[in-house]
Amino acid sequence: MSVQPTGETAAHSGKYTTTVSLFVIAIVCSTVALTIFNAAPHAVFLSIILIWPAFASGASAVKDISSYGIGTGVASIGMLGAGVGTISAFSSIFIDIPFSAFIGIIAAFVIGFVTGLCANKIIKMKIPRMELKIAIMSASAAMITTLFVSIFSNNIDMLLTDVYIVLPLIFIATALAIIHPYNGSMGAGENQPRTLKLAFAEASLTTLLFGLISLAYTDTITSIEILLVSGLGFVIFTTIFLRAINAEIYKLEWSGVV
Amino acid sequence: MDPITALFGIIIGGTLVGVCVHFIPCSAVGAMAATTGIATGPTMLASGAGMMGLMAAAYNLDNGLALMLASGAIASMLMIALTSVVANITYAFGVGVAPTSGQSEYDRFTGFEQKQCLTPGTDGHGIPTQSFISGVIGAAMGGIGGALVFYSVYTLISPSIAQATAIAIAGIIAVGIYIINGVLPAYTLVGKTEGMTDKKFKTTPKTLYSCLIMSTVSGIFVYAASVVI
Repeated sequence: MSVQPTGETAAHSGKYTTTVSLFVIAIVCSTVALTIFNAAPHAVFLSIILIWPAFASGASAVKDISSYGIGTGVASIGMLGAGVGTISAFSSIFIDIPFSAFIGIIAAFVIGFVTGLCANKIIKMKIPRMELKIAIMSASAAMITTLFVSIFSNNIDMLLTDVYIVLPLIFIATALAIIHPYNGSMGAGENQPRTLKLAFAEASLTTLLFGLISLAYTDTITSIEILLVSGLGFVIFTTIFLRAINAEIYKLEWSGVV
Repeated sequence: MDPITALFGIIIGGTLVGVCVHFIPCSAVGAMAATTGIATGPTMLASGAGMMGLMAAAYNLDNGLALMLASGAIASMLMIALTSVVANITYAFGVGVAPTSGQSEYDRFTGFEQKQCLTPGTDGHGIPTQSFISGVIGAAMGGIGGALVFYSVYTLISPSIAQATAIAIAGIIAVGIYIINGVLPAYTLVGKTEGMTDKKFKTTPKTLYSCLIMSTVSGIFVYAASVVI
């Protein structure tokens, strides 16, 4: 298999979107996703589609911070964001007032911002707007965690009896989906539009995994909805991502190694 | 343990976890055998040791705080000690270098001369005795810190839910706090350290302040969510 070389000046496969814009989109979409799920659980496929921007927002924040060279690898910063998101999302389960999920997301933003302040002001990493980027990453992780905890447990009693087994999996799957788009794309030709395409592909793959888990906890229709929409999303985004790669690389040669 | 003591438990435990990272010798993966320490990131190494500690501590939940802290510390120490030994075997028989410090002329504990084993152009390799002992001390601190955070979070949330669920949720929140406090010192160390004999050990106060602030903020939220609101 080979494609025509496009040369060194290959155009990027899309337009650069600022992380803040992505985050605003993610907040709106996640709020709608949570509201839809709470109002009409059988429209869960819409919630799944609407949570994907949160993955993209987190991945873009990881890219923004890591591209300065943080000295400890991309994984550490993503795990930090997922860690803050997890603390906030799981602690907010115990808040006994309406909209507790949103309190968790706000708390993730605040704790993430303080972490960034510590990193920039005390440790003196001097990465521009690191506070905001860590806050965005943490809040994005909290949005994803909150939605899936809600999907797996329609009510608090169910969460507290059955679903706790999968909590570590929610944490690590969210962390990997946020970390890997930049880690997998980094190199001389890395650019944000392509990284975001991979982020969406990994987001749909992650929701596909959660769909498989939901077979054990939710009704079959809900699980099938999640699996179908995630599978379709994965095929579409992977195709778009591969097209972007083919458009940007100099040459692709089939080596015969499978 | 009353809720306020548990809050202080989270703060002290989180800070201990942060400081412990400075003791654990690690070099970046790309610098394997080119600088002293286990070839992985400080965060991953400290988190691995911490999670071992958490698991061991959870088994002793019903046996009191003292035994929990001890089992957490011992599990973390074992994890770091075994990782160091296996890494040294790899360095000695796989790479063909002797465990050597790149910063000290003589090992602080054995008194062995380091420079004669140092490959020119490198900053040391493997885990010499001083780094090994430093790593084990750090792991003990990390294990105690992790177990303390776990027990404190468990104390805060356990009144309202079943024990098995409380253990799972306390464990995952403790891992979150462990990771936050493991990442911040990694930035101070810029990915590699020889342990307590390293020149970068002087930067520990920066870690101490930042982890103290972080643990306080995280602890207050967990406390507020589970007790106040």
